[in-house]
Amino acid sequence: MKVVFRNIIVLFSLYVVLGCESLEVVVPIDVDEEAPELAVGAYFSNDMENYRISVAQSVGALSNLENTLQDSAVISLFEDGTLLHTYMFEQDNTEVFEGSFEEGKTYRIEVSKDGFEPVFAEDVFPSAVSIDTAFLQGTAVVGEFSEEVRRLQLQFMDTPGQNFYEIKTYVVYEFSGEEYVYAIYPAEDQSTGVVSAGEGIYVRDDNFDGEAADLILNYYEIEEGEDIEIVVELRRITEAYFAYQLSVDLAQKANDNPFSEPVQVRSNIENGFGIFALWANDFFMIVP
Amino acid sequence: MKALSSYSMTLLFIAFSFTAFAQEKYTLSGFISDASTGEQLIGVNLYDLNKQEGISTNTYGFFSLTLPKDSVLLSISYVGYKTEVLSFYLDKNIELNLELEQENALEEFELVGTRIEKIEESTQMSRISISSAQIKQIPTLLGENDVLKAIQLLPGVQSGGEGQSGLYVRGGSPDQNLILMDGVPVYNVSHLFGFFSVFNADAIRDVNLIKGGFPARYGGRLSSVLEVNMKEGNSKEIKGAGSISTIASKLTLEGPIGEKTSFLVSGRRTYIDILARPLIAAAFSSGGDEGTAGYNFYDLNFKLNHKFSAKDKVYFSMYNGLDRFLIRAKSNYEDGFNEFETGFDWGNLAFIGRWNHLINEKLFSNVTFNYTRYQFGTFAKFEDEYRDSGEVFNDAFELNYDSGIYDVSGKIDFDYYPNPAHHIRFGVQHTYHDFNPGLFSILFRSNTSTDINESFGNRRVYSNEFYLYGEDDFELGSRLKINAGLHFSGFILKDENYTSLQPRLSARYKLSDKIALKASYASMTQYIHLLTNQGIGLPTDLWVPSTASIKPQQSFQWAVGIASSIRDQFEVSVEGFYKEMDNIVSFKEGSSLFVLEGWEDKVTQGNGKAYGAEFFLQKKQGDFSGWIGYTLSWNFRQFDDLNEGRVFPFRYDRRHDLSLVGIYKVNERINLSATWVYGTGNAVSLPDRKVPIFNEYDVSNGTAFYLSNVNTFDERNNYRMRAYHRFDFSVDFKKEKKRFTRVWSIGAYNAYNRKNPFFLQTRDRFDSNKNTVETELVEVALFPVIPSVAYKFEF
Repeated sequence: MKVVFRNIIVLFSLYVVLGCESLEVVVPIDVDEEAPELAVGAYFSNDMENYRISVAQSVGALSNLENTLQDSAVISLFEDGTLLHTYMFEQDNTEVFEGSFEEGKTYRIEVSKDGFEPVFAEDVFPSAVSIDTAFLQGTAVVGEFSEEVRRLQLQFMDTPGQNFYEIKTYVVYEFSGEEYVYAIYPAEDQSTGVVSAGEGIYVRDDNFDGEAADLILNYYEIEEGEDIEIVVELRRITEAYFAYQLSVDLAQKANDNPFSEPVQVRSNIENGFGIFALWANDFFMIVP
Repeated sequence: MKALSSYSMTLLFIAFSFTAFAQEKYTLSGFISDASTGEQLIGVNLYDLNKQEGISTNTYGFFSLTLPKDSVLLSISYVGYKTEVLSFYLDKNIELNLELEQENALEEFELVGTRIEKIEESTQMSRISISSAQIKQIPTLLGENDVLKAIQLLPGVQSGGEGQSGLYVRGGSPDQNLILMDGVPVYNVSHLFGFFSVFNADAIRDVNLIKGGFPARYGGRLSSVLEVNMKEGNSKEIKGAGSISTIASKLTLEGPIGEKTSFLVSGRRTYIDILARPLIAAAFSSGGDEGTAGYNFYDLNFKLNHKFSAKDKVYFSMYNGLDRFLIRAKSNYEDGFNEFETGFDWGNLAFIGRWNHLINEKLFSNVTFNYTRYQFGTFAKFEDEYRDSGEVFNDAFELNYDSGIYDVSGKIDFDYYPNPAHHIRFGVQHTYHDFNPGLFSILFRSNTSTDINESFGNRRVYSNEFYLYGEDDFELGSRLKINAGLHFSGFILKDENYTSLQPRLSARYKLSDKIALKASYASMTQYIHLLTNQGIGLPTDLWVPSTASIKPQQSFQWAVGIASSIRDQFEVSVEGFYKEMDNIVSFKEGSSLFVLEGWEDKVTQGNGKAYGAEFFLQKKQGDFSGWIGYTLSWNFRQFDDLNEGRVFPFRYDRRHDLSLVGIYKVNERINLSATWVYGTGNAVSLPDRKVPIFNEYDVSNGTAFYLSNVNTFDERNNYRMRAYHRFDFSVDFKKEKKRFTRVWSIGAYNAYNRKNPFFLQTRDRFDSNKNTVETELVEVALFPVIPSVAYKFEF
């Protein structure tokens, strides 16, 4: 609800500032278009056995082109300098990487396609993490706009050194013998040091480096019922992925707000864009 | 080495502050004022031609000159006034209160030029003064004379965007300017979203801008000190002045009340709302609704001065200014109505009391107490009522937002003149700040459900700020003059305290009678910050304090220059500066204009660096006067959280900034003035591409989703807007009437209709040939050529 109020105020201010529209003079200007570059979406976790990478391209700032996926891009994956796999990306192709990843090893991805400068990314696979406990706090609390906020408490042990975490929460339920899963969106407002972005909650261990972490996470609504289970996923992620997720979330919000400070989308893809994301995860099931 | 050693500065200060003289001496002291108005004159030169020693009057027109027992040939000179030369034998302390007469050729209407001591004499560098008369002759937007617009024409000072009154001084931001009205800080100096300043030119006596080499008596901001001294009120006779211009009218009255008291009252109000009210009402009624809308601002200045004795004088000043915007609309239906009302207002209120006391002929004191308030508020109300089956249903919703800063402050300043070689100043100030960084409240009433009445937002913060200072302006031989000082300040919060010792040093070395080399160093600390987006000068900008996590800003500035007077007609100066700024504040990426709460999480701190050179050539007297100001500068920022930690150009990194100002007296009745300004385009962050963003794998098949495209850019402030240039002119036709003098002033802002960029935006355009929607980038220019007419009068 707060977002709605803020948007009303922003739009109203925009109206006032630009209200003297009869005075404005519009001058079209030309800008040099940047050459397109490859963009890669690659996500690897320790609990999956097959993976599929997407390859697309950047376009000019004024372009309205929407689907820029690039067929025939060649993708190679290396582990500590050894080639694990190579394949060609096709939108309709179901070919996948197979294998598993080990913590502490360095993984590298290389992508090339005719007409584009080859791109690559490299990162170290994070160490494993485990959840000590997670539970829903017994009572819902009343938020600033009288909305109900449900709090989830999550405890785990952080390892020394800079660590980044992503937390996702799902509802799992059965219906007519089928199992369904959907993600629970976190509330916009979180406690200090905890950031909400899209489906995920992001935390860096500045406040609990090498110590037990005890986090309170806010959700607008968590459905409860007899056949419903809440699954909490804790991921130790790379710094690059952490920065990418937060910047993408900000950039999407900034697109709709003319008063927003400009946002640069982070990337760890050299010579291109996108993300080579690595994480180690653990799950904890809560039966409400 | 960012700062000179504090210890060496202290030793230097002590060593030269209290030089003892053994010879029998007497002191000549008193006040110098204007013969026609009684206004005390600042910076009048008093010079003993026999001993080749002199002094200048202080802010209150006071001087003290201690000389050996001997004959004195005292020259008292001031630009625009007849020079007085007095000859007498000094064998006792003498009190000398003098009134200087204006020269006929430079009466108020034409008087231009600086009113401080000659540029090559002063240790103060990077300082420029402008008189009220000068401000009134510079052509401006809609004919409304504006102090800050005049200041923007000086080298080292840049405007932000088209028509904006914010000052960007030597790489700084508008919040880094200490803007003092009669010695008291003013927090928001903007009317009408920054297109006009709060200073009414008719009530101003003079304006001094210091860009570097700050004397120790100033502190609390990083980049400049702008002293706006209001008129004290004519103590000789009732005088008045006023004007009716395109946008506003104003009236100033001043005069004596008895022999010892004088007053000044000045008011200004815009009247767009009054003129437009019938049209707006008609527009609403044509749609079957009732309604009104309007915007106005006003200023009110009041001053009262009383002279209790030759040694005691008190001043009381009050300023109140307010901007108001309102829309109200009501739609009536057969079974009910709905009504909507929204608006906002913001403004300053200041009460200032000062007491001048002459403790003895060598020691002058001034005590100041003040209360200032800056408030911003906005609201929206909606009410809906209808009848159904004889039952009345009523819902009402109200949203309010308030922010502001409130100060209560006291200070005492001393001027001590032990001998002609020293002018020592020292003092102490304490300010109690009450910050309200934004509080929302919502109210929902309904006769069918439960009421809601909630408040939320940022908590009020209370703090204490203080400073102590000491400085000495002293001579070492006939060529070298130094101003050395220390400024010690502190900021006390509930859970954090900060202190800062800031050394200040300025030196002048005369190469000849007319040419002087100057150098200065100043360290400054700023404990309060302005949270602002895009630098548009919106009233929503928030003043916030330093906290445990937000550190005070600091700057370190070095400057060197050469200054000269040429035949007493011209002044020329060339200065180079280098400034580093630490802990400056910026919004983080993606932060927005409204800080609902948790403002500390929305900002980040980093560093800034600016350097450059300034050239200033001014013709001060004669039928033609004016100046050329040129600045060549570079201005960068570095924040760990912005631009991936890389250095980027500041939005107002303006490589070239040129101002030409000319004022020409054609004859006794006609005066021409014109300005031309040129500035390198502002640096803005423009998306240079759209990149696809992905979401993680689909649980079912491990595919990375291609979501959509978002805008991004490689480097912050990667694009330069087109250069800004503009020509303004005005012509004044003056005529002496039987009871008053009237002036018709006509002019034009942006006379050759340059489409200067105000901001950039993308927009979609349908291409009928391709049958597609094309996105294009456009620069929006705000002001085309804007003519103005004003009628001014004086009596």
